[in-house]
Order: sequence, then structure tokens, then C-alpha cells
Amino acid sequence: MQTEILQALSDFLAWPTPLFIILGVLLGTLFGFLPGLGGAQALALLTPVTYGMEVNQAIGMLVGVMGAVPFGGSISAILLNTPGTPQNAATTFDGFPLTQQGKAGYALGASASSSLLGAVFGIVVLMVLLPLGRYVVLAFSYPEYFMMALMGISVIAVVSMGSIWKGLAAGVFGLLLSSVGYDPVTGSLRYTFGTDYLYDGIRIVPALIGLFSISSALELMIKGDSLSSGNKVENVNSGMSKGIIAVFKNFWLFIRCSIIGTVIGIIPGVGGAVSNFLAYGHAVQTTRDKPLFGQGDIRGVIAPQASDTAKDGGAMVPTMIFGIPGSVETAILLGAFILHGLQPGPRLLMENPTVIYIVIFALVFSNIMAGIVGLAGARYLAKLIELPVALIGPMIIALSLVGAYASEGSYHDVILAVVFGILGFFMNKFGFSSVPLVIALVLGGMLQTTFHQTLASTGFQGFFTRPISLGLFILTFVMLIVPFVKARRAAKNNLDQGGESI
Amino acid sequence: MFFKVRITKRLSLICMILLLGIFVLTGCGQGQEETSSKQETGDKQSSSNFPEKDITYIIPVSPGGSFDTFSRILAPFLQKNLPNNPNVIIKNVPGGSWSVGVSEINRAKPDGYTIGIFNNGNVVQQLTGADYDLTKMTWIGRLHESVYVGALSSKSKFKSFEDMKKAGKVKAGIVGLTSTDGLGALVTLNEAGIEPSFIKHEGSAEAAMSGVRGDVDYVQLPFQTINKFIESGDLIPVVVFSPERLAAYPDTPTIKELGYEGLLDIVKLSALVGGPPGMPEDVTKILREAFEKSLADPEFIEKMEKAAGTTVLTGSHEVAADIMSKSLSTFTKFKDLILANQK
Amino acid sequence: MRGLNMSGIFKLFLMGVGLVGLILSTSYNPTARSIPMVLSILLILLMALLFLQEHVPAVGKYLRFVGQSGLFAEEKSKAGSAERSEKEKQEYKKLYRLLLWLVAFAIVLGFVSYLLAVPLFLLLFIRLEGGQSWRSAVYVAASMGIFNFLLFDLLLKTSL
Repeated sequence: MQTEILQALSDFLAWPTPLFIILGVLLGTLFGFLPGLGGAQALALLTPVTYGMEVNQAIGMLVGVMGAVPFGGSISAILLNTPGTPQNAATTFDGFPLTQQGKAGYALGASASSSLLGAVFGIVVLMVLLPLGRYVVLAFSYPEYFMMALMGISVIAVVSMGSIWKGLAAGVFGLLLSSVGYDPVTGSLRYTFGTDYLYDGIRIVPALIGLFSISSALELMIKGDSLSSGNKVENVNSGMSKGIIAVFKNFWLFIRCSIIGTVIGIIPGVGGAVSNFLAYGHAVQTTRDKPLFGQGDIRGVIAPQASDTAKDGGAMVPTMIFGIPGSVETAILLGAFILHGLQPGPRLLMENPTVIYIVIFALVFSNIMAGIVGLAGARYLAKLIELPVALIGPMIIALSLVGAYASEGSYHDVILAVVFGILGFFMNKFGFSSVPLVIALVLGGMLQTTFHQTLASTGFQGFFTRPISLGLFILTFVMLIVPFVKARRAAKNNLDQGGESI
Repeated sequence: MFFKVRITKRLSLICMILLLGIFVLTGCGQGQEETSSKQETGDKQSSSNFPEKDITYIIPVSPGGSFDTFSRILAPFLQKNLPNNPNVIIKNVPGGSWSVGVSEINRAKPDGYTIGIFNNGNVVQQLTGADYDLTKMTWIGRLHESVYVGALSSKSKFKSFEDMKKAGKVKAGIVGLTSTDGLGALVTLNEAGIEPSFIKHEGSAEAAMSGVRGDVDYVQLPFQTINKFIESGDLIPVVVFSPERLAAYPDTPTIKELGYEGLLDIVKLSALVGGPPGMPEDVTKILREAFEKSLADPEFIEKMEKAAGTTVLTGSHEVAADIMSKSLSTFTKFKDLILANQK
Repeated sequence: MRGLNMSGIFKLFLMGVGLVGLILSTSYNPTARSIPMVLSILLILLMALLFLQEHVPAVGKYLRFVGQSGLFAEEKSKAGSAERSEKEKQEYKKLYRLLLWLVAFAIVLGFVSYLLAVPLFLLLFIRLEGGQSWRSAVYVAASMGIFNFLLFDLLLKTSL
């Protein structure tokens, strides 16, 4: 195995492969940054470009794109409260408040280092788990998927910024919305009102653009300040260095979130949109001292970013071992592999192991490059926050609507984004956080499908007789009870002290 | 004010440099320079100089699947073999189980500048209300036909098709009852007198995995989807839906040998290339000839075989038209069977 | 029913959504309708609870537990001082203006190429609504326009 790794490394570093990786990183960071565009579009764009290239160069470039997207998306999440891709949604919760406090550099630095280290971690775990990966993938069947979706949705209770009841209502609303479209498992068309557009359900990307980018742009413009709310902006460079170190200060949280991300990556079908919420929820629950979540707690940036990039490493497991893509991006990557004559699957490990090592190197390298490029560019972007909102606001709106349009080339997406933008604005205004809505919308489909599938295969007891499924259920239950107990205890303390409620 | 102007200037400059670089690279990779060499295409009557600009090739699914891959293999060969070597630009139009993309092809101007790929399962949408008529499309040819393989999970208690028949009941994993694999499985099991209980999935990869995990006994999927699992030993092939035994599975009987030859026409997945209805004769002829030339190119065959994992079954436009109309009548015939199973 | 303000109307709106969901779900086959039906009923109930608690004090006082706010409650107390409601009115006026701009932009985008719609929107909005100088407006509009052109001209080859 030693020789193979060395061989792969030398292939990898042979010029001009690194050049292609850098180009992939640039494109990936850009596409990650722009709302509506993401890894899928970048990869689809580059696939024909790779026709004439050698295999290593092609892989390098494509994986380079994949690695850079999560960090690119965090830049817009932090600076503009606009997640560049759905998997950066959770990064806005604390990233943007930090920007508002003038600490954008701090947040960006933390995102960069946790993204990079998360990717490295994911790869290390990947290499360790590769032999075990098969077992993990096979152990996850319908009940387990259901429990994962349930766990993701229960994060709502933890993260309900506002009253629990309103959070619940938003979640139920989101679940209802996730029922829209053609459901393969029941074979029926629901809530499409006769349109073709809703056949595949409510698309996450434009809905997210509306709920996060547009509605927050509206809020900003009504409040009327600049993004930093008049706070003094601290020196960007020193902020960044502080941010980079912050990961090490919260090392164990980082490790745990990377594990969450890697595991989610290994399970095909559960994507980045889930991992970042789960990681965020986990961070909220496990912090003991001085939590500032929702108001600029740096841990709220580290957690989701680490899990996002770790998931990319994990996602290579089903992709390479089974040839089963775990997401749209890996599906396109697979297609590109096949076009270049590689057949991912059980055979690949035996016939062509150097390819896997090249993928791994490319992932690490691309994250390093993405961090450097991103931070360098972000330094200029961070100056943006000094601009008056009258300029930024419309720019965000323009970027959002064009991004929604470009996402799949459909004008209906623009309409959807606007509708959700208005909806999101009013929801926030009247105390209903849109976070539960998003989580429910993303996970609702999987929840319903796997519910029916479990009933069809093992019946209702399937949820509780299988070890992993039962374990996840208990974990979820505990997750839900803990904040309840905490709140009760806090309320009791307050009563004892005779103080007002918080 | 001046300060801010300078910042935005710097920003735009950086962006532009970055993008110009990427623009150049992508521009170089995407389309070759259009050579001005005009090739004679034999005895074409009209004086049209088709094609004079780029041709759009629509794929009604997201990038990454086998139809997408096969099309992307075909595209550069079409480019090479068409007169004037136009760019053949791939456009993915996913949505509505192929119906959005197929609609787009249907609505395009029938001037030969828009073509796309179809599959024989598209008739389902036509039967359930889509606004196109697949039998009226201008067919160019068959790109590939996937042989279906029926396989048992290695974890299943059944070891052969006979075992299933003896038991009379089986759990099967499919995509959906209105997809080609689902209908194929339904009809096959029905013919053999086996009562199926189905678990439906979002896609064929998920359906295959259900067999690998042992959640179901039986899956019936196209060769390229299922082959890797057979090679790894997770799935055991028990029947192949082709007239002759497959070289890959010499010990597996064909459906003909098992006595259900009629199913050969029904259980298949064809990738058909065509354009909107009403395309003019001369244009269609040029496209068909270019298609045939591409199919005969040894480099094309090699690439396709590697991607498909097996011999490539191409065909002319008559074959394509025939497949589509047969598919329509099959699905119509079994509509009631589908509804009955859709509780 | 005192205090039927925008907040209350919004809750009724969501309740209406739940109702629509419920009614439509009855037309689907049994497996398909099961979960949406439950969800719709839940939504109606929750919104009813929330509505009653906040807007119908007579019933609301029994439902105190529903009103518990968490960490970041948006609801401000209904201390109805004159200047408060004046500020709110201003905010609503501005909101409606913004919404008008947003919808107009979205509509124009459907008819005119984005290459024209985006700079036009930026130019007009920044100048008229934002009150910035012509210079800033032109600057932003032009740079966004060029940016779009470069970026989507690449993509234009494949999707838009």
C-alpha cells in the first residue's frame, strides 16, 4: 500500500494537475458563494471541459470544486446572512450576528480552519473506515433512515428561537410543505394544484434563498443600518487569526461535529443540508459555559462547517465502494469517472486503488487552497459590510433572484423564492422562526418515505427491534428531554431567586 | 464616498480576473472551433446547409446517471460526424420524471437544432396526461438498450427462480409501479404466478441497495445498475431478459429458457435519440446518418462498452419507433394491473 | 376579539393553510393521505391555540403555557404608546414599498433578460428608494451587470 500512496502522490503533484485543482477551487468557491449555484452546477459545467484531460487532472479539478464549495458558501452566509448553498444555512445563525458585531474576520477565519480541518478529519476517518464502510452502509435501512430524519427534525426543539410552540407550528408547516409533489412510495401526486413545476415538490434551493437571503435583505433594508449595525469593525486580519485559532480552543466540539458529518456522508441519501443542522443542534446542546447561540457564538460557526466538509470525505465511501452516489454532486462526479473509463464500485478498490488516493489528496489540497483563496478574497468582501445597506440590500436581492433563476434555469424558481421570501419575512416578524420550517422541508420527504417503507418491509416493530434504529430513537428522545429539563430547572432557579424571567 | 468607490473597484477587478480565467478555460473545453470544412452528405436534395449553428441535445434527467453518461459519450461523435462540425451542447432538464425535458423537446422548433434522449418508459407520462405523443417524434435511432437482470439477494432464502415460484410469494424492491423496472417486475412475477409485495424507492440505485441489504428478496434492474453488486456477490442473478445468455453470467438462464419469451419485448430499458415531431426529411436524414456513423466508430463502441459494462445494442430509427409504439401498447394493456397493485 | 392585528391575521392564514391541506388530503389514496392529514390537523390545532392565547384574552388566560417565549422572542409587549404605533406604521409603509419593488423586479425578470433587468432594478432602486447618489447607483448597477454577463455568459452556453 505504501508504494501506491507514493505513486498516487507523485501523479498528483505532477504539473499541470495542481493547476487544474486550483482552477477547480476558484470555481468551487465562487459557485459556493453565490446563492442558487453550487457544486452541482459547477461540476456539470466542468464535465465537458475534462474530456480532453487526463484522468488525474480531471479528478483533481472536479474534486477541487467539491472541496471548495462548503467554505465558499460560508462566506456569503457569514457576511450577507445568505447561505451560498443549503448546507451553509446553519452557519448564518451565528456567523451573521458576528458580522453585525463587526467581527466578520473572526467568523471567516473560524470557518476556514474548521472547514479545512473538518475535511482532513473526514478523510482520515474515511481511510480508517474504508474496510468498515461496507458494513455501515449496509446496516442503514429504512428504520435507521427514518430515525436519522427524526433526529434531524427534533433539532427543531433545540434550536427554536422563539416560543417552542411556534417552533413546532413552523415545523409542522414545513412537514406539510414537504408532502408536495409526486411521492414514489405511495405513487400519488399531492398538493400540486395541476402544475408541472410542483411535481418534484418544493425545491430547497429557491425556498432557502427566499427564507434566508430575501427575507433577511428585507429586514436589513427596513432597519436601515449598514450590515455591521453601526458597530465598529475590528481589524480583519487579527480577527481572522483569532478565528483560525478558535477551532483549537474548541477542539472536542470540532471533533464531534466532524464525526457527525463523516457518518452522515457515509450514509447515502442524507446530505449536507442535514449535517449542518444536526451539528449545530449538537453544539447548542453540549455547550455548558456561556452559550451565545444565535447572537454570535463562534461555536455556531465551527460546528456546521466542520461537519459539512467532513461529510465530503465520508461521501466518498459509498461512492467509491458501491458506486452509489450519496448526493447530486457525487452523482455527477461518478458520471465523470465513468466518462473517463473508471468504474467505481467494488472492483475499483482492487483494480485501481491509486485513483482513490488521488481523490483523497485532491480533497485535502482543495480545502487548503479554498481556505487561502477564500480568506484572501474575503478580506475584501469583509469591507463590504461598511457599505450602506441601501447598496447591499438590493445587491443581495438581485443576486438572490438571479441565483434562483440560474439554479435550474427555471423562472418558476424565482417566483418560489419571492413567495418564500415574503413568507419568511412575516414569519420572523411574528415570532415564527424559519429554521424549523427549513429543517422540516429538507427532511420531511425522507421522513415520510422511510416511514412507509419500514411499514412495508418490517412493519411497525421494525423501528424498535433493530439495534441501530432503537439506539437512534433513544438518542433523539434524550436530545428532546434535555432542553426541557434544563428550561424547567432554570425557571425553577429564577422562581427561587425571585427574579424576572429571562 | 471615494473610499467606497475604490473598494468596489478592487472587488470587481478581482472577480473579473478570476472569471476571465475560468471563462477562457471553459470556453476552450466546451466547443471546438467550428471548422469551415463542409462535407458532402451524399445525395441530399435540398440546398440547405444544415447544420449552420449549435445543436442542443436535451437530457431530461439530472447529470450523473447512465442516460446522461451515454449521451455525453455520444455528443462529441455526433459533432465529428455532422457536416460543418457544429457544437452539440448538452442541456439537462430534469423534473417530473422525464416529462419536463420531454415536453421541452416536443415543443422545440422542428428544425433539427434541438434533439434529445428518451426512454421507453416515458409512455407512462403520456398515458397520464402529458401533452406529447411519443409515437410522433422524429426518431433518430437507438443509442443503447439495457438488458434487465432479475436477481435474488444473497441474504434471501430463495436461491433460484424456481424457489420463488414454489413459494408463490416474494418481496421485491422496485423504483415504482410506473417505472420500467417496476412494471417489468410486476408483469414478470404475475406471469410466473408469484404474488409480489413491493417496496418502492426513489431510484434504481436505492432499489438495488434494498436487495443488497436483504430488505427484499428480488430485484429486477438494468445490467449496468446491478452488475457491480453481482460481481461483489451481494446479488445472485437468476434470470436475464435477453434472447441469448449473457457472457457475463454464463450460468444464468434467459427468460426464454424459463418459458416466458413474450416478456422479452416488455422488460427492457431503451435509450432512444430523437427530435420533435415534424422535422423536415433532409435534416432528419443528415442527423440519422451522423448518428449511424457515430455508432460504427470503434472508439465510440469502446467507450460505450466500458461505460455500460456490456455489449452495446444500438439500432436505427425504425427500431426506435417500433420500440416506442410497442411500449405504449404494453403500458396501456397493463394499466389496470398497475392500478390494482397500487393500494 | 380585541387586537386583531397583522400578527393575528398571519396566524389565521396559517390555519387556513392547514385547512386546505386537510381538505385536499381526503382526496388521496389511504397511504398517501395518512401523514398529510395528521399534519394538517396538527397545524390547525396549533395555530388555533396560538391565536386564542394571543388575541382572545378571555380564553387566552387558560392557555398561558403556550405563550412561553424562548430565547429570542420577537413579540414586544403591547404597551400601546402612540409613538410606538407610529413607528410601526412607518415600518409597514416601508415594507410594502419594498415588497412592491421586489415583486416588480421579479415580474420584469420574467419578461426581460436578466442582463437588462438587474442593472435597471439596481439603478432605480438605489437612487430612488435608497437615496444614494447617482454615482453609487451607476457603479453598483454597472459592476453587477458586468459580473452577471461574465458569469452567466459561461453558463448561458448550457442552462439559461
